[in-house]
Parts: sequence; C-alpha cells; structure tokens
Amino acid sequence: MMRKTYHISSYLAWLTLVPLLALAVSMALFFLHDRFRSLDNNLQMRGDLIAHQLANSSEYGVYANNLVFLQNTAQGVLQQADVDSVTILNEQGVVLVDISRKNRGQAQQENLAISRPINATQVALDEFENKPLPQQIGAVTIGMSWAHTHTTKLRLLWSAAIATLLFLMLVLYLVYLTSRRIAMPIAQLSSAIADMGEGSLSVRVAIDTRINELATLAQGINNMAAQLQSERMVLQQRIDAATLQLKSLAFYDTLTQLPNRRMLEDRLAHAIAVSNRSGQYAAIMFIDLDNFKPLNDMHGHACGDLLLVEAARRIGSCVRMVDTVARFGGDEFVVLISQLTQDAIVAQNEVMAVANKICHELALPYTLSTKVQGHTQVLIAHQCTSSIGIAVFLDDNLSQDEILMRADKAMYQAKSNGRNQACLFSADAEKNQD
Amino acid sequence: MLLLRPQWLFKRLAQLSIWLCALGAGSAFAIAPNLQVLVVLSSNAAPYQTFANTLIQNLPSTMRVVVQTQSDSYDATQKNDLIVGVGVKASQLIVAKSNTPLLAVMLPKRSYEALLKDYSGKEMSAIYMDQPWERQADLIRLVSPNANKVGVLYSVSSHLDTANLSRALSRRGLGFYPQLLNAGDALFVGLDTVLDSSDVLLAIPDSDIYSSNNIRNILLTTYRHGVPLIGLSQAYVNAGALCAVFSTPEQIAAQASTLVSRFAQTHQLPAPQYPSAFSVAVNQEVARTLSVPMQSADMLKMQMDSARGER
Repeated sequence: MMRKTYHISSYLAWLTLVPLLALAVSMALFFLHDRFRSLDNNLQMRGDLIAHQLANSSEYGVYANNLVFLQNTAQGVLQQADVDSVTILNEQGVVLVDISRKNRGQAQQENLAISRPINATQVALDEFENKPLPQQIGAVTIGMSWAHTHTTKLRLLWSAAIATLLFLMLVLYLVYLTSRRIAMPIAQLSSAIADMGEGSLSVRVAIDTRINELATLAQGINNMAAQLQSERMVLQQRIDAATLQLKSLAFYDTLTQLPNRRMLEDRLAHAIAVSNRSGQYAAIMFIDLDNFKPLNDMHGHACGDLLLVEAARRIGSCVRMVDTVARFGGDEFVVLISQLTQDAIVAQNEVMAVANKICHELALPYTLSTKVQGHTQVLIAHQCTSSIGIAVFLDDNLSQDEILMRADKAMYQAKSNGRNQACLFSADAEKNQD
Repeated sequence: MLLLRPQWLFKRLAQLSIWLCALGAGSAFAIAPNLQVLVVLSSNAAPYQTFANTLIQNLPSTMRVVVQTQSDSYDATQKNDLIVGVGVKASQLIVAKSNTPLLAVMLPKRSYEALLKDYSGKEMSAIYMDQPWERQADLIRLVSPNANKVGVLYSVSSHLDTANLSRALSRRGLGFYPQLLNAGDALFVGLDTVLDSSDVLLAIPDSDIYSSNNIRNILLTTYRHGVPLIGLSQAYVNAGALCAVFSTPEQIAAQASTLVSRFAQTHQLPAPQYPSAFSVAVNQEVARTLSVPMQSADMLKMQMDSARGER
C-alpha cells in the first residue's frame, strides 16, 4: 500500500499552527476564566458592601418599625448599579420592605441574592460581664442583577475571540511566508529531481534562497545534473562510434573497405527494383584474380592483402560513383553496374567496355611494398590477370542468387576460355554447355 | 482633655479620703490584728480588680486579706472571719456555701434583697451599686429645672420600687410617669409611649431594657423626642446619656474598707447601705444637641453634696 505523503508546507503549517492554536486558545480561556471570576467577585463584593451598608443604615428603621424610612432607604439602595431588589425583614421575619426594579423589559433574570443580618450596634455599658453576643434584630436581602456582568462577559468573550482570531491569522500569514521560503525551493528541487529522473538532464534549478542547506542542495543538484549530462554525452559518443564500427563490420570488408556480400545483396535488390521500374538494364560482374594463390604462398598473406587492396582501388577507379564494387571474400570481387540503357545490346556493350577496362587495369604490374621480419622493406613486383563473368539483367524474374550464379558461371566461362578476359553470360551458351 | 480633668480630680480626692480612712482605722489595729478576710470576685473584670486592689491598699497591712479572682474556685472549708463578695455571682455563691459573715458589694439593691429573702438567717450586709432615688432626683432637678415629668420604663423583672421613686421625685416637684414593658411588647412602642409623656427619661438597672445591644437605639429614640436620658454610669454618659450619678469601684472600696475595719473591732456588720461617695458625669455634646443648659460635673456634684447636707 502506498503511504500517503504531504507537502512540506502542510507539515510546516501544522507543526506551527497546532501548538500555537492550542496556546492561543488556552491563553484566551485562562484570561476569560480569570476575568469572569473577577467580575463575579466584583459583583459579590459590591453586593456585600451594599448589603452591609443597608443593614447598618436600616438598623434604627427596623428597630423603630419606621416603614417610610426603610422604604426610602431601600429606594436609595435600588438606585445603585446592578441592585435589582431589596428586602428588609424584622426580627420576627416579617417583611417590612420588598421592592424590586421594574420595567426590566425582559423576564426576571436570576439574581445574586445577598443576605446580611441587621445586628444591633453594641455600645459597652458595663464591664462586669463578658461582651454580650450580638443581637440580630432583622435581616436585609438584596438581589444583585447578573445582567450587566453577563453583558460585560459577552463583550470580553467576543474581544478575546477576535483577538485570538487576528493573532492566528497573523501567524497563518507568517507561516505562509516562511513555508514559502522553505517549501518553494524544495518544491523546485523536487520537481527538478523528478525531471532528471525522467531523463532530462539539461534541467537546472535556479532558486533564490537564503537558507544555506537549500542553496547547497540546489548547487549540488545542478552539479550532479551537469556531471551526469557530460558523462552521458561521452557515453553516447562511444556508443555512436561503436555502432558505426559494428555497422562497418557488418556491411564492409575490413581489408579493402569495399561493401561486402551482404551490402551488395542489398544494393542488388535495390537495383533489381529500380531496373524493373525504369526498364533500364543493370549488370553484375564476377571478377576473380588469376595467379593470386602463388603470391600468397610465396610472400605471405600480408603481401596478398596488399595486392587485394590495390586491386580493389583499381576496380573502383574503373566504375561510376553509382556503381558498387564489393568483395566477396578471397580474391573474388563483384561489381554492380546499374542504370544502363534500355537497349539490351547497347547495355551489353557498355558493360563489356567497363569489364575490359577493369581487365586491363588489373593486368598492369603491381609493386607491393612489404616488410620482411618486421623492419626491412622489400618491394615485390607481381603481375596477375583477372577473369570476369558478366550477367546482364532486366525484368527477367530472376532472383538475386540466379543473377549472381549467372555471373559466376560466366566468370568460369572466362577462365576456361583462357583467363584475362571478360565473358558475358548467355543463356544459349549455357544450353549448349548442358 | 477638659472633660477628663474632673475625673482625675475625683480619683485623687478618693485616694486622699482612703488614706484618711486608713489613718482613722489605725486605732483599731491593736484590737483585732489577725482578722482573716477573703475577697471573692465574680470575675476578673477590670472594675472588680480595681475594687480589690483599692480595698487591699486601704486595709491595714496586719490584716490578712486573700483575693480570689474566680468565684468558681471558692473553697468553703477554709476558715475566714469575713468574706467580701464582689458582684452578684460571687455573693450568691458564698451565701449558698458558707456561714461566714458576708459583705456583698457592687451588686444592685434588688439582687441583695433577693439574697436576703432566700438566706434570711445568714449574717450579711451590703454596699449597693445603685444610687439612692433621692440622689437621682437631686440630679434630675439640677439638670432639668423646668422638667415636670420623669419617665421610667421598666420590665416586671426589675421589681421597680415605684413608691419610693415617686416619693423622691414628688418631693422635688417632679411628676412620675412609669411605663411597664410586658414581655413580648416591642421596646420601641413602650419607649415611644413613655417619651411622649415625659420631659426626662431615667434609666434603671433593668437588663431587659438597657443593654449594650439596645442602648444605641434607645438613645436615638430619646434624641428624636428631644428627651434627655439620665444614665446609670460613666458608660451611659459616654454612649450618649445626658448625665449620670454613680459610684466608682474605688469609692465603694473605700467605703468597704471602713466597714471591714469596723467589723474587725465589733464583729458586727452594719445595715446594708447605698454608696456614700459618688461621682457625676455629664455629656456636654448631648446637652448642646438637646439644647439643655448644662453645668459642669464638678458644679453639679457640689450642689448635690450641699443638697444632701441640707437634708
């Protein structure tokens, strides 16, 4: 199973944002908790203070059962912020005053009820007894409204949430900037590596970064790509050279650099096709050197090879560029002459003229410069003739082999006719021979 | 500071009188030098301690005086010639446990009378803490020359001697308006009633009415009615009463030492008596507030002394 992968920017974002989010949220919660508690305490403290003052100021009113006075006192207390209701009871628990703020508009919210006993103020009269216990002559209860505290809390909550959000957005932006500085070069490097993996070694990364490691990495990748590229070029050159060599080995004779039999067959097939299409005659000559073997035997193969090279050169000089001179091995050469005329007789004459020219050239004396025992240069004079068999063809439904065989037969004819001559294959003559 | 001056003067005078008494008693030393006196305090409250200290100072050094500051630890098996019970609690305890002659001091007259009723056969006498009605009436007449009616609020438990009080007041041309506060009645209502009909309110020793918890509200109510309160002690005057006549522990101790010295000679206890020496205290601020023209405490004391002398 393929493991799921993520972008480095995502990683960076998560690594930075998650702890910061946790931190920001917990700080906001701590702040809110602290402020909420302080607000609650504040209300409680103010309530305590108000109740305490009310208990003190209503002592005489409760004692004297002065309801008007108590009512006025309670009204005064009700004017104070957050006070929602005031209740004053006497010693027997009878409610003397019970007023609450009206026109709230909304349903009566739950209040913070704070009760305080109304104790008689003690004035020491005599010192004979222990200090008497305080005497409770009544009680006050005030309801402190949560409404204002709740509003403040809500406002605090909103401001904390917005501040946290702004902070996170700022952090997000900073993370985006930072991750872009890190992640973008890495993304470039990564895509360059991917391209190189697919073979395009010419790719180079150009990143503008102040991060040391990334700069080093980019430089390294570029260097590596350049190195790989140059090595591949060298290798390619070597491969091309080797391929060329192989090709040469496959289609050319190594000694004379003439096309070999395989190439000739290829060109012959081509010539047959051209000849069939154009109606022009073409011809194959089989050339065999007479008296070649004794040279080999007397002066060695190196000497024979020199002769073959010279013979090849001479044959080549007698034909056109479009014609092909090939070596079939040993002292056998084959010449393909194509694009002759459409007239059979003219074509035969032309070929014969070429054959005779070759025959004449080859019969000229050879001076072969050879080294005996590695250093002494010896000049060897040699003379040898050649027997040439010619097969002319045009749309005869003949195969290559048949054409070559005809030329071969004609060459034997020339040999049996006394050598140093060219002999044209004739079907009639073959019949007669048979 | 000016207000404190008379206090200081009284203290000095009291000390002087104590020394004079001691000198007077000197002739008796030879007769009963070995009198064994036990002083039992109801508690270690400061006034009781002051009393005990002053008493020891005033008695001759040949007299063996032991002070027991906690009445609870009183041991009846110990032989004493005379026991001085200081306060109600100590006196009750001694009278219940011992047959030794008892001089009860610093207790209300009513409490002593209750003891006498319960233990009629016992040999005992007392110096009360309360002041005689005559003396109170003198003070009222002096501070409120125009007053017609003196209101008194009392509860059943105080057993107010209305007859004697009424007589003492009428002798000075003062009317008496007693108001009984029944259990369960609102103090405020009773107080309102009595204040409506009185020119002066006289405080009496009644813990159901006059207590540390109530005094402030009572005083506020009297102010509202413009009726001054005649208190029972310096503390009342400090709290806001117009004036008070009272005897200090030192004054009572001086009187007690005279009685003890006399007992050493005669082995007889005199009849129970009110404190002979007394002090007057005045709250000038209250007087100003209530628009009562007020003399100094010294002047009042002098006039009261001369009024007593006339009788």
